[in-house]
Amino acid sequence: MMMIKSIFVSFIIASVLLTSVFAEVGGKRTLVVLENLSQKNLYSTFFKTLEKKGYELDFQPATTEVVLEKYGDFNYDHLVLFAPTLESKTITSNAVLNFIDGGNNVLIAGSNKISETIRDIAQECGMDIEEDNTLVYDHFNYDKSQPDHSLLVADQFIQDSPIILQGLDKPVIYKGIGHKIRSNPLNFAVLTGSSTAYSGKKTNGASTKLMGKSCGLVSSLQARNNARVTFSGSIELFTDKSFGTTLEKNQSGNKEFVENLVSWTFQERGILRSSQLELVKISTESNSTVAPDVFTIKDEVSYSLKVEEYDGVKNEWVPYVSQIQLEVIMLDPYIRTFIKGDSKGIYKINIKLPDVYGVFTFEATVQKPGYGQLEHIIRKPIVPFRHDSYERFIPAAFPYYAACFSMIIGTFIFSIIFLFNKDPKHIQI
Amino acid sequence: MKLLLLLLLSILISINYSAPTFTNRGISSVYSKNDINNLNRFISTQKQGKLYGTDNQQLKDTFYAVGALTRLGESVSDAKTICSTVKEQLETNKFSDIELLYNGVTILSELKCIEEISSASKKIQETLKSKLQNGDLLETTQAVNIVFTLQSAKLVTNDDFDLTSSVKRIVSLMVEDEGTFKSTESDSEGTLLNTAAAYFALARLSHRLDNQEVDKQVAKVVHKMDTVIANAEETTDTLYFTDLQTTASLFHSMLSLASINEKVADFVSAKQVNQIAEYLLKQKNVESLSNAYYLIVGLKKCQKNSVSQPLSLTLEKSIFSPSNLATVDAFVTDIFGQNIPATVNVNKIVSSKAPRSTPVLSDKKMTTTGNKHSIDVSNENLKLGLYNIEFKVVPTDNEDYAEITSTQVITITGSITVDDMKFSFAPKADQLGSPKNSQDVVFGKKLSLVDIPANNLARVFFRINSDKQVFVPQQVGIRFYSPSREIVVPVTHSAESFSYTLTNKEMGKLLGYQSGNYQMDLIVGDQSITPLQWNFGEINLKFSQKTQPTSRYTENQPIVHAFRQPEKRPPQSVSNLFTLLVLSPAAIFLLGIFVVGFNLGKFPTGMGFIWTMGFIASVSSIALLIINYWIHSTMDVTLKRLALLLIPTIFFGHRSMSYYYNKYNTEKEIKKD
Repeated sequence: MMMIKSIFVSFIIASVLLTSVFAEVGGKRTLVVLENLSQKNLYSTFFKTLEKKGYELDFQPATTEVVLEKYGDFNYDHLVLFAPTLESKTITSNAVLNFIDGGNNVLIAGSNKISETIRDIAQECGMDIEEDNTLVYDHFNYDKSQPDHSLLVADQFIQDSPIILQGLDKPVIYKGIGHKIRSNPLNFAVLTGSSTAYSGKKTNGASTKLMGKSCGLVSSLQARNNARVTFSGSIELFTDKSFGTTLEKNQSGNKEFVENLVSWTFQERGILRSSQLELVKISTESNSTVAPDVFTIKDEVSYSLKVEEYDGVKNEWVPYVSQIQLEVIMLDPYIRTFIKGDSKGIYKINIKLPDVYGVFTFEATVQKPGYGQLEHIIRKPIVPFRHDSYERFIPAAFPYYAACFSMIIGTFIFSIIFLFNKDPKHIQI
Repeated sequence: MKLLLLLLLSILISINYSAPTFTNRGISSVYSKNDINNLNRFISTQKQGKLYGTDNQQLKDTFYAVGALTRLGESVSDAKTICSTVKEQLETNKFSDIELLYNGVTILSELKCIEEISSASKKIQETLKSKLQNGDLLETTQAVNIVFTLQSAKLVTNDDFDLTSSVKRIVSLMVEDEGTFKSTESDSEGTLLNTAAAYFALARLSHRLDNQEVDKQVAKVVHKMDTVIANAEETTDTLYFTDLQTTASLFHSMLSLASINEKVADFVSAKQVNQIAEYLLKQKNVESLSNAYYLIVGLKKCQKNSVSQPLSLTLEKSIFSPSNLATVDAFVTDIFGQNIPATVNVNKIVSSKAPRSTPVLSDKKMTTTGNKHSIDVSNENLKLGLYNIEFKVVPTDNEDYAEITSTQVITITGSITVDDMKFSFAPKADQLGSPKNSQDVVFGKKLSLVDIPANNLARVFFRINSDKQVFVPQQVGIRFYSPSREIVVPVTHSAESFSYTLTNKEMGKLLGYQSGNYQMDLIVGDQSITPLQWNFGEINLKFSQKTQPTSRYTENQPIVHAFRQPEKRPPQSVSNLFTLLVLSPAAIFLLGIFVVGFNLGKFPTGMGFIWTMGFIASVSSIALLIINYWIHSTMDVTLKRLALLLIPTIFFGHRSMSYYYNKYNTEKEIKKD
């Protein structure tokens, strides 16, 4: 009876642990903060798309006191802040940054008036939002069917991270505030103004200092803990009206843009994990038979690692087939090599260990724009040769050996003859 | 005393000036014919079978659809089928469910086929009487509404029901402190939806019964209306209660009460009506039949009420070129875009860039032709740019509509030229103005490649004109670009000219210290001009600092470990030769012994032989041990064995030495003798 009880308790603990481990990616609990709940209708298509994907949306007005974290556990996996003027008692910049530090994702939409809370969050995430009452204008690339030059036709999509927008090429109608993105590998200028765009005052259109492609429209942060934060200077981008807009009789790319952007932000793709590490000795130059498993300098070892990518649509992990970087480091990298993966996502290579002993780190990393951070680290000591590991007979030393032994034998023979030889003369006497 | 009075007076004046004054700016948009068509299309898509909506609440959805369409004056397709289907459903239910009955009766009434249920009036009366006496708040208010609907169709009379006591019942359900209404006596809190239902029923009861007692009860309710309005949420432009349904129904019922009780106007202001209208106009994109119904109910109440009916002023055209600029035409409409007779004045026309500057035109009456109000601005010499026009609208019907002051923006567009452009570079800033360091750039042409030394400054200077007059556009920037780098820098404006001075340090920072050739484009943009992008030159920049990479991550190169090379050894043959050379003395020695010959005649006999042989054997064993050590053994094993071998070696050595000592002494004594 006791055994059944203990098995049952172990099963529950294991289940809880497994749940917490796998809850890191693919969680669907989403808090949506709106200026007021009646605005829900404005974004109904966007919210329906999320609900269809299985996201559990909890709509709350900006005035409500919602707790993101309790006793170290987060109540939500994603946060949608559709309240540009948000000044909440509970959803403070610190609370949101803590939420991000916990590996959760945040989608923020702004307008031409932005609260200090949103500004603080954006600033911490590498984006400097323009002053209130400014908009991005472009007198060259705007929706010509409207007199408003702040209704941009934006098509400057991010180039180095195709995973974010998945090759979208249809222009997007955008009206909103601009921001400057800091030069940081973790920041992604998903959509920027064209060369002729600029940030100008809403009242008279007079330009500020932010011009050209530096004028960010939608930007993201891929944090080192895989959390993703996206800031859009336009909340209108997510409205039903925006999804239905047409450009010269063609449908604008707003709907696809938002869907791709949000699915990436909510970690539906581009998240990597590694497993099944194998690091074994294949051959050695050491002659020693003591502790054969310990890595010795100049050993040839086999390194193998499985890397998988999360597929949010199928909700499963699929092989990541690309290239990883492997470094063997002791303070500085001694070996750096690139490994190509097979169709099963297995990355395998044979390497010869350096002839320097010490504690080495085998670090496998993937640095691909738009993908999460992957760093698989294992530390192994590499020992020098033992006294008996070296070669026993060195041909070059044979003369010394011969000298030594010939001297021993010669002395021995000479001693016997010297001691026991009887002089013939003495015999005659 | 005089000073005190003066102080008091000044305080009073300052209070008067600082008191917030509401300027009715009208509504920013209207519910246009296009919006009505969109709604009509949406409702038609919701029809499933004979009725609208989903299976489980088809009658309710049909109530919403028919209610929205009839309020908009749109025809309901297949009305006869709807009437017969509704009647069938009511008969199936035996007219017992009050909500179903309310929805059904309202649909039949609005489709003008209510006589179809005349035969069931007795059954309906029984249900109504029961609900008026014992129903909860919603049931009672629904029963009241059904009574009035049937009464209008002359299917029942007032005498059939005790409606006065229903008034008391409804008012008794009001929560005294909050002014909201609860469903039953046992409930502790009221809701805004209940309040809306109660307000509307009381408004109808008060209007139909024309009874002082009822009016007193209504006054009691109106007295608490301010606390109900305090539940509203307010933004700069809008005001609303929780959601569209609550906002529209509460707004509709409050203004219904306003038509029978003037005090309501003390609580519901024209500003609030405007804000609610703005809120409703933002909910144009409906996604359900209920939202469509409540949107139209709210908008219709905005269009006609006794407090304030929102107005909107729209311009026929807002973009003009200087050549065709003659009149600015405007229309005054209500929330549904219906023209409203009014007198319109232009308070002022002022440049958008400097809203506080002296107006270009002020206080001029617009001429009215039919519904169009026009003002001639051809003589005002309006330059390119944006202008704010402030209109004052005084409606002819000043009882239903309030004055509004609306500000609209017009744009005067045209073309520009860039004149007097000079490009100069020099080691010092004060040398940039020198003619020998400057090159003129003709508008439309391109300057040939200019090589700028690393320690030099460069400056671009120009003027922008329109019709030979200085024009200051909203955007003036210079774009520097190469295949891999691009920046746009703002150009500063001063004293009717524009200039940008570039320094090596600043450009290096902006361009990531990438040396090379850069094209230069002048970008001029403004809402009122045809924008200009002119490639006016090319420069070569040199930076001494290390170029910053353009890629996101540093491109790592493979690292191959350089192993320490083993020390060089002589070839095997050389080693063998030396080995032979080293062994040769020993070989000569051995050969010599055999050649010379030897005689081990002194080798002892007897016990001496044994000790000597033992000793030689021990020493030989030690030699073999050393050879064994060299071949394969370890120091540990060798030392242990050596220790063991030392015992016989010492023993035999000692015995041998002792033997030879004794023998030596014996031989010595023999010689003496």
